Amino acid sequence: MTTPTVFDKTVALMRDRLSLNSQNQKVISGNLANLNTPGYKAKELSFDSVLRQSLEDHVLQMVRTSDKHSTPDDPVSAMQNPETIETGPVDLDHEMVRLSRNSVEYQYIVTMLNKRFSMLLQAINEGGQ
Amino acid sequence: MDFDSAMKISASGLTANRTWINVLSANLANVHTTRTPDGQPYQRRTVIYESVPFSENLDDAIGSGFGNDIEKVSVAEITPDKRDLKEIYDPSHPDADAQGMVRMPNISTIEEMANLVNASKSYEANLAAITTAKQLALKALEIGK
Repeated sequence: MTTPTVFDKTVALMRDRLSLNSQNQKVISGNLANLNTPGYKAKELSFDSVLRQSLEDHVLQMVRTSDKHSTPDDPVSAMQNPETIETGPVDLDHEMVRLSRNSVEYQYIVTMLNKRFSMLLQAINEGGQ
Repeated sequence: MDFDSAMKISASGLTANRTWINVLSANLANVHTTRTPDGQPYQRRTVIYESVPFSENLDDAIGSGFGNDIEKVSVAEITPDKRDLKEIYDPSHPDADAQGMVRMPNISTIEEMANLVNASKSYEANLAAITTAKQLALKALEIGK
C-alpha cells in the first residue's frame, strides 16, 4: 500500500475511465459511419468483456495455488491499454444505446471528479480556520 | 484529440450518406427519362461504400498509438445498375421502336424510397454521434470547475 497523496487512486482511475470513454466514442462513431458498408464488422473495446470476466472470477473466488497459473486479465490494465475486438454486423439500436451509455458515463465521471476535487478543497480551506 | 477524431469519423458518415441521398434523388428524378447524352435511356445508379482506416497524425500512420484500426467510411464508386431496362408497350411514345415498345429506366420508385429512408436514418445516426461528441468535449472543459 502506497502512502495516500492528494490525488489518490480514485482520481487516477477516473482519469483512465474518461480516456477510455473518449476512445469508445471514436469506436462507436466508426461503427455508425460504416452502417451501410458491405462486409464491415462492428468494433468494440475489450474493456467491458475483461471487466465482466474479472467480476465473474471474483464471484467464483478463483484460487491460484501456484505462480505458474495464469492470472485473469486485469481490468485496470485493460482500461489503460484497450484493444478493439470485432463483433459482428453493425446493429443500429445497439450502437445508439452504447452511444447514450458512453455519454452518460462520461458526464457522471466528470461530475464525480469535480466532487472529489471540491472535497479536497474543502479539506484544505476548512482545516486552516 | 479523441473527440475531434470521433467527429471527423462521423462527418465521413454524413458525407457518404449525403452522396447516397443525391444519387437516390437523381434516380427518382429520372424514373421516366428515355434520352440521355449517349442516346440510351437513363440507367439507375448505386453507391458503393468502403471502410478506410482512419489515420490523422503520424502516430497512427506508422502504426503505434490507439486508433489505427478504427475505420471511417468513404464512397468507393457510383456505378450504373446492371439490371435490364424495362420495356413497356406505348406506340404513341416518340421513342417507341417499330413494335411500339419503349425502353424505360430500370428504376422502382418503391425501392428508391426505401433506400432514401435508410440513407436518411443513417445520416441522423451519424448526426447523433456528432452531437454527443460535442457534448462530451464541452463537459471535459468543466473538469476542475
